[in-house]
Amino acid sequence: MSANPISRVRLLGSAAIVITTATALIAAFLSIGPSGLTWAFIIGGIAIGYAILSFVLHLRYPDAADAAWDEQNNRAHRDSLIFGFWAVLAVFLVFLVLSLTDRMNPAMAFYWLGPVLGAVPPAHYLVSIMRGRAE
Amino acid sequence: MSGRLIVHLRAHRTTAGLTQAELADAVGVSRKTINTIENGVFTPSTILALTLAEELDCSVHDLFELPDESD
Repeated sequence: MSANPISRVRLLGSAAIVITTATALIAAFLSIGPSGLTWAFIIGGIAIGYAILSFVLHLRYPDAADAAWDEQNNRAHRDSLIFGFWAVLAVFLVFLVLSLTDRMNPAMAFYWLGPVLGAVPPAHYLVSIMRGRAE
Repeated sequence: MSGRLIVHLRAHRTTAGLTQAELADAVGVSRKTINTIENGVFTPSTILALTLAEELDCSVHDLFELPDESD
């Protein structure tokens, strides 16, 4: 793991968001565990906690922040956002077809777009880290 | 234009007696970025290439080279 505190928190925060969202999705499909609202609070709490911690660390370690957001990491971050856009578009189209054919509640489809939007970019970024393309 | 960049960064860095982390700190990037540049995985911007050359007291052409098209 990187010695850079910003990179370390980014890795742990991204992993926490992805793991929690994946767990929530699996639990929802299996109809087990807490309600969707509880999961939303858990995922949102983790995301907000990560954002606050990251903000504080950026203020505390400005040089480390510059290194953590160097051009390679910026490119990996940009790629993750682009991938997230296409993932959300693809999932939206699938949900649209399911909704139009009465196989999915439109409100539920809208609800599930949130986790996709929130978790796919960090998931892509984690893959970039594992492939050695980011830190 | 095609082909990968030929990178001599590692040789110049070791000649300068620097570790990847030390060079990364000197030019303000992560150690991973220095590592991927040396391995030819990541191609740096012009600004970073010039910064690396300045830090290692050499020319950008000493660090990076285009492959010979006739090969």
